[in-house]
Amino acid sequence: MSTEDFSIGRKPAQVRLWHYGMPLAIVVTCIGLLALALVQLTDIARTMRVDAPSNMLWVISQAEVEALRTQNALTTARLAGWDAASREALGVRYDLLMSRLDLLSNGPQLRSLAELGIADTIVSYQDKAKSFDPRLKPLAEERAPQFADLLSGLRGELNRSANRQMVAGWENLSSQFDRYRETVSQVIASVIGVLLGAMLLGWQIVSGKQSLLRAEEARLRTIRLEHELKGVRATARYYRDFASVVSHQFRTRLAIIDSAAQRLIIGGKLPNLPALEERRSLIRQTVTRLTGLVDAALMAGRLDHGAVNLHATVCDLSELALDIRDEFQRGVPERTIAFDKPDGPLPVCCDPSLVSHIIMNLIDNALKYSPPDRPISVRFETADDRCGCTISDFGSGISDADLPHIFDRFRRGQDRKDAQGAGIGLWIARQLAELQGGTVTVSNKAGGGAAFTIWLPASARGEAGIEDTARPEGMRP
Amino acid sequence: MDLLFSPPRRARAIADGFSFLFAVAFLLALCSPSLAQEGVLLTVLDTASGEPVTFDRDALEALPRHTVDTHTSVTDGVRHFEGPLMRDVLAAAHFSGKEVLAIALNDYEVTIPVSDFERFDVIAALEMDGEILTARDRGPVWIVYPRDAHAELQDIRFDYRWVWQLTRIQAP
Repeated sequence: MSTEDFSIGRKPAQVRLWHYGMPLAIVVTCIGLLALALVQLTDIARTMRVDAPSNMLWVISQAEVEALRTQNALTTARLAGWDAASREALGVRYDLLMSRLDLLSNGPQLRSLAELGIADTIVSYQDKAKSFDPRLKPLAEERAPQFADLLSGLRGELNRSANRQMVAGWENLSSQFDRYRETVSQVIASVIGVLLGAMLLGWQIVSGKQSLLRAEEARLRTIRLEHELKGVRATARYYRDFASVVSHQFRTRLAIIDSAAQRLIIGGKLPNLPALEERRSLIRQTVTRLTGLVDAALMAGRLDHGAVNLHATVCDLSELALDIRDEFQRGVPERTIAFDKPDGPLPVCCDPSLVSHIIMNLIDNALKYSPPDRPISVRFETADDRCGCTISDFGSGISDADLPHIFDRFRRGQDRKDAQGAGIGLWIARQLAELQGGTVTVSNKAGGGAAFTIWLPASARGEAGIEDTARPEGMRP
Repeated sequence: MDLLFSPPRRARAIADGFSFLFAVAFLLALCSPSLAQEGVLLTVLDTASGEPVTFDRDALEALPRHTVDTHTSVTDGVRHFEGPLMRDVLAAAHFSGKEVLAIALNDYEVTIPVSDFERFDVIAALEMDGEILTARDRGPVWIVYPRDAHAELQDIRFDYRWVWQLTRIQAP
């Protein structure tokens, strides 16, 4: 179970307890266990020393040895007839025996004997032995047997003491080891507890990191989804706007046609021929624009879906433009479309039908935004490896605010509201030019009016009119 | 310095006349049993000269006197000990070994590094709590370490070096 899993469906108090309370509890427990281990180890260190009572067996056995030696010295004196040397030797042994009994009847030794239950017996023997002090009253044959009996009895008691001391010593040592073992086991358990605590803490830290990572991934996913949602919403808005603009334009043009058709017969009789011709011309113009609008709408849809097919060839840009200009000029003989013919051909790599569409769009645009009494012009220029065809009008130009957005979809100049159009012509023009490795640029002319230029990549072949199936470099599918 | 350690010949003379002295000592013992065996208390063998050096009570008391107040492993409470420093005794006897074998009246023997006497003020105690030590307790000479003054001395490995009834010192 990860931290995140735990957090799901739990109250904040529970989550806080898991994230802060549990590590704190682990740390406190570990510190407690370490402190306990420290106390236990200190206790072991303190008790791991050999103290004097541990040496009691030796002390008792030495006393027994002295009792035996004194007994031997006594026997020797009796056999030697109590001569000075044997008396002296007996005196030395007596001193040493008394020093041993003195040791046993004092301090920690006496307490050890008391624990064995023979302290009083030994002290009683010590008191009795004092009455045989050869310094106070020289030992003689008549008291020797009593002294010998005393020494025998003392040896017997000391021997029993040694036995009891040995048993007590082993008991004591064993219980001491038991205590050590128990303490060491507790210390080991504490250390294992601390290790487990450390592992638990480590696991919690790692799982915390993992859940942070997951949260970060989720955040990024959310951002991506939001971005995509924004895109989808923008597309939806675009189609809504598109439908709205296009239907409006359709209705407007249909209204014009309807109105012209109604006015074909006024008051039950036909109008005169010029008026009839004017209305017929209006209907035709409007139908042409309506057809253009449908074409543009279809083209926009094809561009959106990447469904525009390129048929690239090398052709002369000036010839292409001249054909279109001538066609336009025939359609609007009352307008002047100046054509500035270049010195030579301008071979470019392009799809002629798409380029025609662009130039038609730009000329149509120029005619729309230029006053009827002013001409528009078509001229050419070359720069580096590209050729341009510029269509200029003598209208009011484009405001600085509109200039950066002139190629945006559905964008029409604020001051051109009166003009007709769906605001997709320039967008389509630029899209189509870019599809062929070129572009469409715009600038305001110094003398007034706007100038749109279609730029296309110049062909290295330099031979116009020859079909080229290979796609030129920079031309996008 | 008034050192009264006896030359070997004199020691032998004393030993020869021991029987006579014993009779005198016996009379003295009636009044003071603890001093009955007085004479040579400590003999140092393996000296620089190769000759044994003996110390009687006067010779030991003539050395600079030191005191040690300490607990012992075989008594209760703090005891007050007096006697010459072990290193002074060894110097007076011209003993120059690295270790000594300390031997007691009851033939208990233990090897002690001489460095003990250099690092610590170990004394050859002649008195405890103002009472002269005798062969009937832990005298006449008891090697006493300043146990309370040094934590490292509170260990059985030093406790067994507290030789009481010390009678002879020699090279191990």
